[in-house]
Amino acid sequence: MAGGRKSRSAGPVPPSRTLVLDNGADTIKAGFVSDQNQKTDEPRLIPNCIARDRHRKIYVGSELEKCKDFGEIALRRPVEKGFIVNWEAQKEIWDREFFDDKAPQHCDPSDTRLVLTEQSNALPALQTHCDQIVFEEYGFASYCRAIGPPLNAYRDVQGIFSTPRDPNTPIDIPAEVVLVIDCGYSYTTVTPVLRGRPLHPAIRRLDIGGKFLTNYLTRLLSVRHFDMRGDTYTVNEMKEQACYVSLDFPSDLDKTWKGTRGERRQPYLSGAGIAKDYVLPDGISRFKGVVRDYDPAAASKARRLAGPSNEDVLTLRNERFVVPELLFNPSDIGIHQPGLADLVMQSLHALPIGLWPGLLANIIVVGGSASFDNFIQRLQMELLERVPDDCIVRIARPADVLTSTWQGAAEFAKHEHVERVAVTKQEYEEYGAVWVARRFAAGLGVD
Amino acid sequence: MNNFGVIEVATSKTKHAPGWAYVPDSGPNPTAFAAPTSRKNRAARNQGGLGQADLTARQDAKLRKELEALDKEPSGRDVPVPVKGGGARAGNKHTPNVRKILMSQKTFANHLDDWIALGSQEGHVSTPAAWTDRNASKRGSTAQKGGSKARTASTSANKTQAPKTKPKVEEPQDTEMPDADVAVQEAQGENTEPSSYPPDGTILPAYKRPPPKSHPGDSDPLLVSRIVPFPTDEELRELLTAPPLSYLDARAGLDGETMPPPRKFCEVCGYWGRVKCGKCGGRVCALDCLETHREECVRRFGL
Repeated sequence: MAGGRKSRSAGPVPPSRTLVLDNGADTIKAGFVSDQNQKTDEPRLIPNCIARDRHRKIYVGSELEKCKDFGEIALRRPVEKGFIVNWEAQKEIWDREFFDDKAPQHCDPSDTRLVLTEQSNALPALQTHCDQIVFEEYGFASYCRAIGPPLNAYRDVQGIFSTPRDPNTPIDIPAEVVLVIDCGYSYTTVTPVLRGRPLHPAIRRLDIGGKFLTNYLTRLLSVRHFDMRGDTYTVNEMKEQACYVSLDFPSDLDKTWKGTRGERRQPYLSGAGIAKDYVLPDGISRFKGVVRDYDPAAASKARRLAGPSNEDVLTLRNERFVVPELLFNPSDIGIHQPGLADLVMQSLHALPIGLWPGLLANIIVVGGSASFDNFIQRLQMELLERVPDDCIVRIARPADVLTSTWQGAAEFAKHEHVERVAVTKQEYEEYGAVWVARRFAAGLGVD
Repeated sequence: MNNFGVIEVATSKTKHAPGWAYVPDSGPNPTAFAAPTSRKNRAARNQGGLGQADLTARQDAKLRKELEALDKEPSGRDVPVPVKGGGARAGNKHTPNVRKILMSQKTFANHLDDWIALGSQEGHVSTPAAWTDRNASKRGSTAQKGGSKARTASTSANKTQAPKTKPKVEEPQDTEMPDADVAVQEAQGENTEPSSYPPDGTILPAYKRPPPKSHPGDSDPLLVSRIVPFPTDEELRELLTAPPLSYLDARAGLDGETMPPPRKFCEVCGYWGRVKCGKCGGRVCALDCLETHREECVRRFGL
């Protein structure tokens, strides 16, 4: 035997179909890639959880869309901190979505390659578990586990930036240099990427993600309005619909202040364009919450009548921008970590300064928590204060923030690079899990 | 009880542990958001840290508890995994490895504790590569052999590639490339054989497109742009082949000196916290919120 490289080139043809899975903590992004030249379909978004509503009915994965009443719902998530930890639950969800006879995206693992994304800086034990399940339980013909954020480099990055260019120039795939900020459910990472390869020494993580922000909003509302602790699902929707990143935090905070005792300041009464009403779902006629413009007249009338109203309205004021503010100033609630802009700077300081201009001019932001309004403007503002004057800071957010990594992974699955990383079932059986783990850790290598 | 100076921490931190791990108590626990509450540590931290001189022990404990609560999953580890009614794969037998993984009820915190314990046994928190190597010696000889074979294979592959790529490195890649090289590159760009990637042997190839049009101000010393030296190929190679950082190392920390002091907010309404409650040290904005705060403060801590 001459070892891995040779046996692969002489080995069997790779499977024709690839299942690309971006197994996020909140949603699984899943889809098939088959033909080199075919345009990639949109992936399916599957809630990655097992849920139980207040009537003790269980929903697994995509069954959740049948659920109408999200009050007091309990969710069990197999992915914790971005890593698949509970395989019992994860296997149940995967089985129902992909491997059962009636599964919505049925696939036969023995004739399929799996491209699975993972969070960077994983614990080795969890990686080994993942490899073992993929090969020993499902028996995929070929498998590639890759860190998620760098795969964005396989997209048309300059297209995301809408860089003016000659339409005939070939698209660089993977992009030469790009800095990926992944603002996900469990946490936020900064990953500098050179030709599709992550620069490991410079990957930095901030332990704040969408989950943390939702929990924080839940706490604020529970202190100031009603107890929302049982309705995290609703609070999450509220966060997605109503929260935004403030471009001038002190001034916005001033506008939402009610004033000292007895005083009611004018911007507070009028709402100052910041206050919004959120109509809570009542579970009878309204199943989704709605954001409305703040109506001062209605608010005072309701208070005067003080009678039971037919709808529950929450007025959101500084909650709207204080919550995403945590990403930029974690010290506001006492977390000893730098904000997003300083996180980028910490990452850059781990790299030679010659790479800075390229990375700063090609920052893309992905992940669900990046979809707050003004997110990239604020980040750009803060970065410009920190970098040398000569550097151009250019930040873009793809239109599909949630599925961007999946799209990149799908392009990666079509690219010849995947052949160099993927491991076949025979190789796993021959060389063992340790060899596979080392191979994925080495990634593409330099050449 | 003599426990040989080993403090069992897993039981106090993680509730649902099926097992537990011995973790040598060497300094502050890096997994927690804030450092532990022991008096000595706090004093040490307050000197160089955020300068929270007014953070009393009570507030410190409260803050830590709150952060832990915020980091938790919103709800439900108790949601059962439904038992599938006779699907096609339900009758399948699992391999021992898979059965072990599926039965495991460990949380991420358990895994992290295990990993830290493993690292401190060795005297250092190991990189993943070292970890897998150590695992290899525990496993059967087949895995070991496979591993070493693969390593030799990859090194030999590197060696065979090196002479191929070397002659093509002709110049540092931050200079503009003459047209001849463009032709070479294009010719090689069509060649999709994996071993010849990237085509010109340098990690970042030079700028291929024609330079921008010349401008009369180009030679003006006031307008000339400063270009930082580009990293050499060796530097880039080192960066690209560096092993991943460990989970804890990748977490961004705070160097207390350069950061501005943390902002303080009203605990009731969220405006700037300009007034401090004399009893508990909590911040409020003005009298209105102070009254609201007092009610709660009295209820919790007494008059």
